[in-house]
Amino acid sequence: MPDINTQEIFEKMVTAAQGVLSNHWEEAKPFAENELKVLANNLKLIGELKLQGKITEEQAKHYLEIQKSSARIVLLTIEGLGILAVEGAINAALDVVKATVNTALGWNLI
Amino acid sequence: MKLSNQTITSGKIICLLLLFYAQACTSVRLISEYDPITDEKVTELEEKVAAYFVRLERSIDTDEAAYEHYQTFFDEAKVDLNTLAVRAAAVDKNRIVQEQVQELQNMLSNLEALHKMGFASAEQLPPLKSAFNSAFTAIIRLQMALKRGEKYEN
Repeated sequence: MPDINTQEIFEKMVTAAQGVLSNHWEEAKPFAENELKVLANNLKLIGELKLQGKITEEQAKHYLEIQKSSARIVLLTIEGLGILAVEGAINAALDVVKATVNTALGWNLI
Repeated sequence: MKLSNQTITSGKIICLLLLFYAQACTSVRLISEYDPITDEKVTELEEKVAAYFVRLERSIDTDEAAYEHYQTFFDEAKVDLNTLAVRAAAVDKNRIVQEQVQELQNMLSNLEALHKMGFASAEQLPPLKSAFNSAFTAIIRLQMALKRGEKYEN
């Protein structure tokens, strides 16, 4: 079994996360990179435990499933932060034109 | 032309509905609002999982580490996660939190399967412990962001 390249795994996960977050990557970057680095290191540790015969193949599968779920949870948070950023931007834009639009219409529409 | 009382009443109702709609549309909501109960339950569960790993690390080389001694923890955690799943499903626009809870349920189920097989040494625990830490950190981080989002409206 070849050794796991932590850096390579990390970079692939970061690219995937960037795809999810697209325009809001800079805001989520510190959190995302930190958590994805932990996950990449864990995958390496699981590989080492397997190589050293300290876990069976069946155990390794459960370990991997746990890491996959953890990664999905991190990516879901990144997606949520992106949606929240979009929501904030829309609401900020509405706030800016609120007075003008409401005055023009004669109603408190916004 | 004289309007009937019924027409005037209908007009007033429509105006009130429009006013209510306009108030409700003050801000755009794309994701669920902050739910303090979800936040509280997730934090409680995180503490239970942290306590599980502390206890397991301490007893790893003894009979005390056997699955039977941790069955209560798994039962309680499953109940907590079920409560969280029901709560998450009841909140509007909450797909992300629902999926996070589902993934936590998967994690616990895999952890239980591993514990049933038995842990032979302390080296087996760090990847599990840090995966749960990452998961809880992410869920709590989103809750904190939702909380800030709620403040934005005020």
